[in-house]
Amino acid sequence: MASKTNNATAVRKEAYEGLVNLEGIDPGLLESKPLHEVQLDALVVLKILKHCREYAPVTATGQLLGIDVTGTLEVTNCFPFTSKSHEDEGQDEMDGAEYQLQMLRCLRKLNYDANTVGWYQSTYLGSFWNQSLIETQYNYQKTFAQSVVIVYDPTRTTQGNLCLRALRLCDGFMELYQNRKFTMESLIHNKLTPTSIFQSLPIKIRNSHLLTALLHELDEQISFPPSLENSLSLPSSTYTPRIPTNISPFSPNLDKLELGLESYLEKHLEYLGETVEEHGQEQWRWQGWQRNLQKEQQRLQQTISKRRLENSSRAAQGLPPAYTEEDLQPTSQTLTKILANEPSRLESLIITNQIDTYCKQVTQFAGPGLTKMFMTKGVRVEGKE
Amino acid sequence: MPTSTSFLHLQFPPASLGTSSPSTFSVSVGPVVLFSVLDHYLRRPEQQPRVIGALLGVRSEDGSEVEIRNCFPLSHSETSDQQVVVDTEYLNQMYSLHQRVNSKETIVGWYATGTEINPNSVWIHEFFANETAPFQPVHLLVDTKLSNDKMACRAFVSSQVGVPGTDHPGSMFLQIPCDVKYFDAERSGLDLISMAKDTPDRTAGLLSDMDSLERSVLQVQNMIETVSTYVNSVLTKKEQANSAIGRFLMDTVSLVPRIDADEFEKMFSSHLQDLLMVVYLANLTRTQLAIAERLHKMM
Repeated sequence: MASKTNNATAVRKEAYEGLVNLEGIDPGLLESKPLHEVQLDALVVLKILKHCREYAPVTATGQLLGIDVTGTLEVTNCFPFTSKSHEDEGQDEMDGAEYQLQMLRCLRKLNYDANTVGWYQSTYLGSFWNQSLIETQYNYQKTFAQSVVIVYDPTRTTQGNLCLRALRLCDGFMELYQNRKFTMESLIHNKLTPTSIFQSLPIKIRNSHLLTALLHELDEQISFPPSLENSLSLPSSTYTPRIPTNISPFSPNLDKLELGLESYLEKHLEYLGETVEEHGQEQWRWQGWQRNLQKEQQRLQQTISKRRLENSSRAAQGLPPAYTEEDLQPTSQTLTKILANEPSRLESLIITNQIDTYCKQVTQFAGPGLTKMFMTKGVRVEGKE
Repeated sequence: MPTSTSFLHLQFPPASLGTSSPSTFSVSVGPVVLFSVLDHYLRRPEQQPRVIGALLGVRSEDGSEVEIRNCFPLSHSETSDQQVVVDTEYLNQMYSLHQRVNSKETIVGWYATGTEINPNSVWIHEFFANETAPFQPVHLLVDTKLSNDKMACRAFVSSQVGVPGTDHPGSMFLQIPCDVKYFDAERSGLDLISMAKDTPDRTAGLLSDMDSLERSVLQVQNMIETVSTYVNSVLTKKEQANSAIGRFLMDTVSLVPRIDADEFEKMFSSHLQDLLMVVYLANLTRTQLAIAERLHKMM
């Protein structure tokens, strides 16, 4: 998948550069400043929601289009990627790039923003941390410096609160990823800690004026069913027998007051357990390597001190030293081999972030959960009196 | 029997050719469609008075219900002397692109913005009838001019009528019921999006779980407040009692489950313990990670 996006982004960039005309625009607005905020159009949010709902439980991905203006990334449109079929993977790869290119051309024709600013992905319970996410985002950020990935969690959203994240890889990590060298030393050198791989940006949702009008209209329609007079003023062909529907207004959103959500916690614990185990394994592998390294170093140290001893005893006897300075250097082929074979720390960085995400979600869930429980208690006591 | 002669009785057009016409015909629209239409309207070229596009969706088996799930914009040009040019190549290309993402959604009709159906609409409708054959195309009209201070969205199907003096049958557009339909996740999204409708800069940030719960609780509290004011005013005879409302209230109150106090206490404490335990574990894990990170930094 990663290579696919890489190809695709390369193709797109070519097509895109030929088309842009930037004359007559205030240069201050064109300057790219570090991003500090992501602004999503309501349309984008709904499109992502729709696409991910249709594809659930398979992860859905798509492209974000928009523009960055003085540090705010304005995402004004998006389109879904085609689903990957397993049968004809080689063929699909080409088609995927072609599809994106065509879509961009079509959108450009009708004055839509056709500027790629990132991509989106759905996730299940926040389990989005993996190598492919990082790889894809790396490719995006390399081709389009100001791109983000929007991660959408449908499971949490159905509980009543829209859950979106906007993430970007940090510059330090980008550099490191380019060399694919994730040793302890390089991490320390670049001052990278698990939490500083990704930068999380605040998200804002923006509506157009017309949309604001529509939202007021929709809210009214649902909250106040049409009066008799109103219904009679419409043509008779619009008559429908009144069937009670379960459509409720947007707010108050009663999904949030749902009490029984044990399964959510259960799943979280299960996943958390698995991830912690993975983390343990990763740690264990690294420690194994560390032990090996230490053993080798010790062995080397011993040989050297032995040689030094021999040298000094020979010097005392007035003989030339048996070992040259070179022989006394604490290096050996085995040592360099071990050093070169340090297991990559990338996986452990990712796992740490995953654990952190799970834990945060549990605590975020528990707060409202506790509140709801005590609320129930409060309602009950009143009911008894 | 009305004596006036201005009545014109129109049959619903058959949903598909060859089958008997169903008695009802209705349309439901996903919110994403309306949002896209408005977005398209905002991006139209300056001189263009209205925009059109294709509607994608699914039909029920008998063709009597259409669910509009998606749409895409089209470029077209209209001149006053009833000349309409629709970019068919664009339509085909866009349609095949959409088909690759979701093959279930087919063209079910077209949308336009504005307040009225003009003669050009008839031609466009006929054009789309070819695309949707053997079914009837649906026409969605979104009023972006906000006439009557309302953003009405209306759906139409066309029916043929004979016009005296011409060979060509005329078309009559029949308005059909159309409602907005959304799913759970979409409601959560819309809830947040509609939060922005009352702020002057039309933006809204994401809420934390706690804040959104607070919002919901406050809203429910307001509702309870309204109901209790009403009940009180009925009790003090300030307002006339409405038995329908009374019945609804009765139903709601009777929905509160009765649980034995001891039982409740037991359930409550066990749940509380579970929840606290999980939180404790989660925090412990996080602390571990934080320590690891600190150590990492010190190296």
